[in-house]
Amino acid sequence: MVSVLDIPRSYRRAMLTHLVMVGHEVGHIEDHAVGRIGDRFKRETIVGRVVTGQAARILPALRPLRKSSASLVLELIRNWSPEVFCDLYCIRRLGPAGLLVFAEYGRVAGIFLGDLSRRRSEDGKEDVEERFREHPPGEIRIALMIEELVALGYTIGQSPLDGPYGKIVAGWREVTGGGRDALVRLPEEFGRAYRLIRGHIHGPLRQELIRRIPDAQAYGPARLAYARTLAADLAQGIAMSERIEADGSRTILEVEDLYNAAAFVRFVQLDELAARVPGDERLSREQRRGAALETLDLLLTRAIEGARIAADWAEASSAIKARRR
Amino acid sequence: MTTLSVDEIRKRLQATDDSRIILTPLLEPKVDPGTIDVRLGRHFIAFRSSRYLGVEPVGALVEEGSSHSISEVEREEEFQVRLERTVERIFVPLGHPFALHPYELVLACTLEYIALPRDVGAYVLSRSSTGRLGILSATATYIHPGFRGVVTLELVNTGPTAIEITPGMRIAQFALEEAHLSGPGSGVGPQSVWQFSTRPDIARLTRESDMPTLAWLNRPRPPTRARRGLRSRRGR
Repeated sequence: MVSVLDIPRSYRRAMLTHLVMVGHEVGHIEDHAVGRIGDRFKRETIVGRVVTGQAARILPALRPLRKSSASLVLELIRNWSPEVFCDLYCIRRLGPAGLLVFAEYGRVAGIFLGDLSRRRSEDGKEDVEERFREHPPGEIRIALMIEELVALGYTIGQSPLDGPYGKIVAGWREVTGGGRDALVRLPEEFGRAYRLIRGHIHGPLRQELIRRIPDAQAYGPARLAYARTLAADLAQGIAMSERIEADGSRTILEVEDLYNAAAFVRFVQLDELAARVPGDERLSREQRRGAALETLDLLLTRAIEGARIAADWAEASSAIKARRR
Repeated sequence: MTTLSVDEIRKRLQATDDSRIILTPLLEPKVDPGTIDVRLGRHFIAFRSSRYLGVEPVGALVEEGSSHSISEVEREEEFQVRLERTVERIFVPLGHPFALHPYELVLACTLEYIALPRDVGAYVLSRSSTGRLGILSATATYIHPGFRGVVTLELVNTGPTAIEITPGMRIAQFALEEAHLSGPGSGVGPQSVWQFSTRPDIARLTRESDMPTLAWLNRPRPPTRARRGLRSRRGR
């Protein structure tokens, strides 16, 4: 089977560090492999074939709604469930980088209800409703991502998500208000769909996620600690592709670690890199930071490229050794 | 300057503190007394000689009568754009061939990303094995302490026949030497335009600080009385 990723058009405006969000798109491939979680969720809900506590909870929630409202809720469930699945998939695979990069990119792409209503206040309710039929508002998505980080063992505001990095995550938690503020401003059906999906997250959706990425393989706090060491190198302009172990041996770096290191530099240590980036002395602080962002992209590309070269080389070397034996 | 021993090079390659020498990825390293081999990278810059008549970095900065409205920075950028048009950037995968023809110059880079500590500098040397085929690896040979980036190699085939070179092959060696420098200003600083390179780079001569001075001296000027006199004496 060949999987094809549909990269959103808006990614063209993105920096390489934003490609962390490919983790979300890879989640869609997993979703297809799982059997389209949105369709399944809707099917189970309507037909009630699967007699679970989940289905039993969902049906009473839909019963008091008018027919048209009920069908809107079901449509939202079908559309939103896979998106939430992919968001959480991205968090489990890439840790806090998935959240912070998504939040930054979201600002550019205009996925937040807050940004949208500020920009299109004259357009009225209809547009807002249409805009979020396919994807939940950014506020909700971020709130759910933070919940997933906590489930992975991150303690926000304390180690390991302490210091300035943790502050940014905590800031997003505050801004999104757990997604509740956004829901207040959306039609009632949106709130119902959200509550149903959230209930689902703690049930079958989580089981599916854990089956795909077990806790031991998820990007937990221990790995973030190493990403910070890597970030210190990146901020000095060192694009490491390998980790030097205590005995001097080398291990090829994982892309997840590199992305988290880059995200750390992006959000916390950018000034440090900016001070080292070559350029005219007359550049302003913002211009320097802009140049540092470009350099960070190049360094990240280079580190990933180096890791790929090392992996290809190791594969070729072991194939030759096997042939010689 | 003290040449580093094999043990010292190995120790620094495995170090995790400020003394570390970083070459990454480090594929089956060959370390000899004072030197370590480096491999050929996958990115090349070839010159398309039919696309230009010559390179005039100072001339590009000279204010022509019609170009008063163009700033110095814009003229620099214009020159870089023109220079960029004269070259072709080529990517060759690992293990695939790249033909280097007789007397041809191409810019390549090391496969390894380099980071030198503040107390180690390096010279880039051609390897004897490739040198005997006629390939010279570098003309700008010194890498300053504190340098970070891939090193651009100026490859020239001085032999009579075309030679296939392959990304991943050992192409040159770094002669590593301890540099006894200390205090601020030691080692390479943010002023180095080559810092953090991840690909081979074309020349950036126009960005050198004394180029505007040279361009000023070269500017078209109305004849002065002294020059007029000189001309009339010559005329006689």
